[in-house]
Amino acid sequence: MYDDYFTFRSVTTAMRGSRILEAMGIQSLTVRTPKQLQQQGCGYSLRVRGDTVARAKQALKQAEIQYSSIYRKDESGQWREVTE
Amino acid sequence: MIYFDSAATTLQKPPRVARAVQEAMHRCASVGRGGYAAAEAAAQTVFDCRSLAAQLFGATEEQVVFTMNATHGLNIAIETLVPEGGRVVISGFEHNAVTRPLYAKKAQVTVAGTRLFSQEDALAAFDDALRQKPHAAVCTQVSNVFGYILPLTQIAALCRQYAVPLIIDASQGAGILPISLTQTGARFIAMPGHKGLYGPQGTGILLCADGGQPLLFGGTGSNSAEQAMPDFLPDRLEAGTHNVCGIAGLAEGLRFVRAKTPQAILRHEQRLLRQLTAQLREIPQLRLYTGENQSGVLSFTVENADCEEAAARLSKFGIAVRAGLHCAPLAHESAGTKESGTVRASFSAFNTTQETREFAHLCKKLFGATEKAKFPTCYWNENRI
Repeated sequence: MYDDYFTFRSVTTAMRGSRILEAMGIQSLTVRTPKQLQQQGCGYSLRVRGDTVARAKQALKQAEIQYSSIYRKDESGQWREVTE
Repeated sequence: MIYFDSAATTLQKPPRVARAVQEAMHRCASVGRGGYAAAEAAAQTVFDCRSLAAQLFGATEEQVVFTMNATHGLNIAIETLVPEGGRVVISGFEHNAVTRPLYAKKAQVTVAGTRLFSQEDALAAFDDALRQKPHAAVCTQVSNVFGYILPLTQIAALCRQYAVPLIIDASQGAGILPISLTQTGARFIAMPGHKGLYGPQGTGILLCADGGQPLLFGGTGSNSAEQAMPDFLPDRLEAGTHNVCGIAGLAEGLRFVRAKTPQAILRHEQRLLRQLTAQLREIPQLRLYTGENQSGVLSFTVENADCEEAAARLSKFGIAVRAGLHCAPLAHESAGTKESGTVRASFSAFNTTQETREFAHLCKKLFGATEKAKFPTCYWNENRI
């Protein structure tokens, strides 16, 4: 179940992130950022499984790939930003 | 046909290039717009090409901006770095894609290095000119007229030393000579996709070290709520729908160059150059422009014959060359051929030794007569010698 979203400003950076995660054995889906999460308009996100988000975060940081934020939908269907 | 005009565009491409273009027309939608399979296919295709270019040219994917051609890229670079009336240093062999935008900006241009095939002259002149701290320097990697390979590594080092931003025109060098955004420290490197990278026309790459001033403003599929163009690459410089089909073809061209290696392609073209030069030297009516540091491009003049008429005559026999000023009057001025123009033969990875033999044989027949090489009216109606 893919339930965490790394949001990016650019589809290019999102795709670069996707390749990095793939190389690290972390599965991700490149998707359009949900409208509710778009701060400045259109964007792309990498959806990853909740249990891989910490590894994904580290992998992207090590590769110096800048994402905007990480979001997760809680049980009530509300988006919250993941800060830990 | 013997195609010796690859400096204009490579007509012979690896077959995969056309196949990739065709496949993309059926499979790929637009990049950065939708979230469905065909949009994903487009995004992957374009990203793959960016990635290939990034690896080949020492850049990150974000620093690879797709353009329509090198001229488009050079215009972006000049618009970014050169203010109206700004001071710029250029080599003596720049193309109109450089000199015309500078003319339009009323730039104060210093031409550095006009001696053909003299790298020492170029270096000394650039060293002198860069001390004046111009707004930018522009240098071609290889002259499109004469194949003269400029000492770009050293010029780039001078630009770093004097902290002058450098724009490199890699139109004739990309695919045969090493060029790296990281290693040169250049601010911009522009190249077409359709020459030494064997991609389709309508494609080009601009490597950008750090941002750029857009020429085109519009949709980017990012930051849509904001009216200002995105402040990040490549989106900032890629307004509008991408030429996804062209980029798909360009990716195959890049794979071809990577597999063959630029060094091997250059060796092949230079071998053809040596072979052709040796054969043409036997024709006293031809003046050849050759020297050290030359790529697979050869310009020559025909004694007492108009260069355009000479090229037209060759064309009647299925030989494709280009004559005139080659959109580079500055290069011709530097070499002293502005009045006459030249006939230019330029090679690709697909040309052969046999073709150079046939070309030389035909030149001998057409231009090597003991009488002056005149072209009476009746000659134009002949189909063979």
